[in-house]
Amino acid sequence: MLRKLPLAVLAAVLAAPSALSAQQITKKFDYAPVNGAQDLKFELDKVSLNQIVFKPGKSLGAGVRRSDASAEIRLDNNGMVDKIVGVAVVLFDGDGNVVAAGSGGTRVGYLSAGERDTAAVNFPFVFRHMDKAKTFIVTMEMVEKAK
Amino acid sequence: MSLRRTVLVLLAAAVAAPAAADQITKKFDWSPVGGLQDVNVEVQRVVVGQISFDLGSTLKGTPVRKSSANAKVRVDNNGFIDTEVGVAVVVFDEEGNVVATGSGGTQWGYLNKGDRAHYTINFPYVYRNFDKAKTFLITLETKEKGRKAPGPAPTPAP
Repeated sequence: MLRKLPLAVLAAVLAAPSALSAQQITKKFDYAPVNGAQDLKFELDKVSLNQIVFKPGKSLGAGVRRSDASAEIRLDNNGMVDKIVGVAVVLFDGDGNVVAAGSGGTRVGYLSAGERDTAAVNFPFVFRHMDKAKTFIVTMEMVEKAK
Repeated sequence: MSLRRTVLVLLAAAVAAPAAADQITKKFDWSPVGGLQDVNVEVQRVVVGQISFDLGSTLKGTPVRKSSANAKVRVDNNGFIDTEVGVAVVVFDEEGNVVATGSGGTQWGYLNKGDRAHYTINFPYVYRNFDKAKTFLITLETKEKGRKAPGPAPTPAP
């Protein structure tokens, strides 16, 4: 039994993150960047996304079709608890076509309490009509560090 | 018209003709069977015919947060010209939250006429509510190589 106990504890620890439900919020914005940057008011449980910088791109060239188009998001954890954050960004043209879509967020560890971080959201394969963007939606997904 | 002038005119026309780029977006209800769902999204004879979803997992017990969640799309070029292809997938829950999104497509060169390819679309950072998916959008973006080739010639009348 004693031999089995550490295995059971280990299994419980490994399973713990999946048991935590992810909070989520989505908001739609008009596409109105100035020099690529657009301020947002977007917050979930004291984590705020207050700026996004759009970087329309083009194919890398020499036959490579991937693009360097991206957006950079700025995340502030104004809360008291470390968090894992994921952000999805989807840009639409006036007809409702998706002109860019991707996600970014915490790669390793946590966005610590009181810290600011930036994350890149890449748009490698659907980017050719990004200049026609009219609106975009942002979804923030978050999991708190278990206490 | 001299031969030289004719060549110049043809060359100018070829340069002026932009490589056609087109796009379409379609919405589907989420109803995969065994992860697979047939769809039909078509632009300029390039067709997304099937999508398979993988809810993925993370490296539990490690600090790495990226997920292996992904979708694979099957794309057929039934046209007459080689084409660059991009596919975006956006998955929503019933409240309109994005539960997964990303893009995939031609990495290098073209999807040649008559060929089939499978592209992987990764969902590395937003995936934790993927199991609540209700609808999804597929956008197919194409850019043809050079000018659009003419279709097959009509059968001559007797």
